[in-house]
Amino acid sequence: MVKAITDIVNTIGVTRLVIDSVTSLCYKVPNEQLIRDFLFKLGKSLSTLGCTTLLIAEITSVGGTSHRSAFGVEEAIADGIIVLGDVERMGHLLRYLQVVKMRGTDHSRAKYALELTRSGVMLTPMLKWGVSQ
Amino acid sequence: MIEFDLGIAEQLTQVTTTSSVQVRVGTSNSDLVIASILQPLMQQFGMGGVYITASQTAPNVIEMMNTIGVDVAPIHFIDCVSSGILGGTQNPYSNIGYIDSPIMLESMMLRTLHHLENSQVQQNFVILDSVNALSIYNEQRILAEYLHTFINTCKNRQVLSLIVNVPDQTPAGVLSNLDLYCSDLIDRGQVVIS
Repeated sequence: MVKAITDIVNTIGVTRLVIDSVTSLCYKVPNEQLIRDFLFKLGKSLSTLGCTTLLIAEITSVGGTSHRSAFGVEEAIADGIIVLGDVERMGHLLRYLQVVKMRGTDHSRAKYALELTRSGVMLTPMLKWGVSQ
Repeated sequence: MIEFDLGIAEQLTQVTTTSSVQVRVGTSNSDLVIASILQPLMQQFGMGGVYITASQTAPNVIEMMNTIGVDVAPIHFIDCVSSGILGGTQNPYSNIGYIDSPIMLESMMLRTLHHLENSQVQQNFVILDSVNALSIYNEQRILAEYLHTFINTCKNRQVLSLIVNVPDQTPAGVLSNLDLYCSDLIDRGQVVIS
């Protein structure tokens, strides 16, 4: 799989790659160690080729655990983590974006309310009293 | 014929685009006070703007202003009550955007900024109508935080902000915050019946 992807990247000179989703790609991989190996090799190969990769990972809030990826390994390997989610406030859902990790940069780790407009994505810091504790 | 409150027009000549004006109205004079604000801002000063409506629906405001004789077609309305609470967004007006609920304060902020960024007019105002309507749905702490953010964001972007409230229906803590944050006051909250 890594070879197939890197061959495509090499052939057409890809500099931005989105894998949507890495959760679907790995769901038949039998154990966490193999997933970790796969993602590590993929990341290393692509960064060597100068290709920035966005790995879309599904997350769930079921059970109250706060994973930032489906298998729990993607978040450790990736250079950056951007979480997109919903905050519930009195029965309404507000979209938010939170940059949890972005290696080598000085960034805010707060939640930002997100609105999709005709001009693109707009962000504003979420009101502190409106985010659940 | 309805007479505008000319004292308001005169007072508005003293404010700048970095001002934040607390507008105190009574329950019976709010439409006339708002018309007396909109008329000079649009006609005299050539300003554009955004009108956030939480106390009544945007079509109601538009129709009331039309009745009084103020053309509000150039203003963009952000209606916080028609969609999720009062159950209807069908109307002939194209200058209205809807937010699901008055509790989505961040959405109000982002939509406001979006319209201001796309405004073709150099000088703009934002009217927030009203704090007491927002206080029905939002607890005092988040409302105070929102007003703090709202007023300062407008100041930073050189947008005149006007915050409408009915003083005796607004939580005391929020009212004192407004006294602190706002640079000017249009006080028409006391209606004397003679």
